[in-house]
Amino acid sequence: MQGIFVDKTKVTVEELIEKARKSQRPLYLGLAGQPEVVVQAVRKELDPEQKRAIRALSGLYRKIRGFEEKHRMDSAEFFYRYESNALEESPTYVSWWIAYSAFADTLQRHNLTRNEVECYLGNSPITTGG
Amino acid sequence: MLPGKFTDYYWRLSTFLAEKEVILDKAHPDYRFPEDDSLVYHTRYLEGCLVFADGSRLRFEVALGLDEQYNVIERRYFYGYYDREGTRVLQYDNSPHHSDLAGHPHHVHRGPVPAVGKDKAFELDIPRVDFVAVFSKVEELVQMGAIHLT
Repeated sequence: MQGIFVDKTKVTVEELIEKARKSQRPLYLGLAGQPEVVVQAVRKELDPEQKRAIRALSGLYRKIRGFEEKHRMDSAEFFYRYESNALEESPTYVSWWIAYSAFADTLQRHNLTRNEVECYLGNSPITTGG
Repeated sequence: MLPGKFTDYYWRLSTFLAEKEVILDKAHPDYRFPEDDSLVYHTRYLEGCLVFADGSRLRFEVALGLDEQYNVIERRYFYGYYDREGTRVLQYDNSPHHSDLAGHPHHVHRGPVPAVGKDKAFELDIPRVDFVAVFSKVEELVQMGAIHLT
């Protein structure tokens, strides 16, 4: 698997962890094309119930991803702004609001992250970082 | 059949709709109701589109939860009823945008979605909103042939 070269002077530890989680590829950490450390996220083993939940979430995931691409906004941010009345009510937004709430609640109940859903369903994450 | 309160809810609605076949056009390609209870069981989410014999439609989307007595409640919902041309007639939802209305956050929109400006909301015209209550309201309108409300 091809990795990604990351300039260690331009990334914090938190950013590195996030990048490793999202990319699912090795990160070569070093300077000027000379890798010193390889960082790779290890995927958590999902239990059968979690796998069933993810399969059931596939339609909801496609739906919220469609909204995110159309409106160029992350669902979590949308949800917060919508609940705070910072966005106007519209049938589309109501649908996004309900779908994301069901998606986020399901993740929480099954102790899953969005990234795990994306990996299992074989989709690349929305945000890949710089 | 999966166990639990949420699947009970699904089968209650499914049975309710089975008794309403006369006014529904289940063969219509746009008619959608989950075929089994697995989606509700895992996600507590229900979505679909009921097509009536007169061509009007009820689109619905519901995120379920439990109240303090562990009864299934529709935590967040959208019910949009459209005439055969696709123009909105009614819309019930509980998005938190109309705190001035009694019964907030529950409210109803009437008439077409405005092309510009705010979509005015009104206080509920039914005692409470849930799948059966909204369906019954729509059923009344279909039977009266009076879907063009003012």
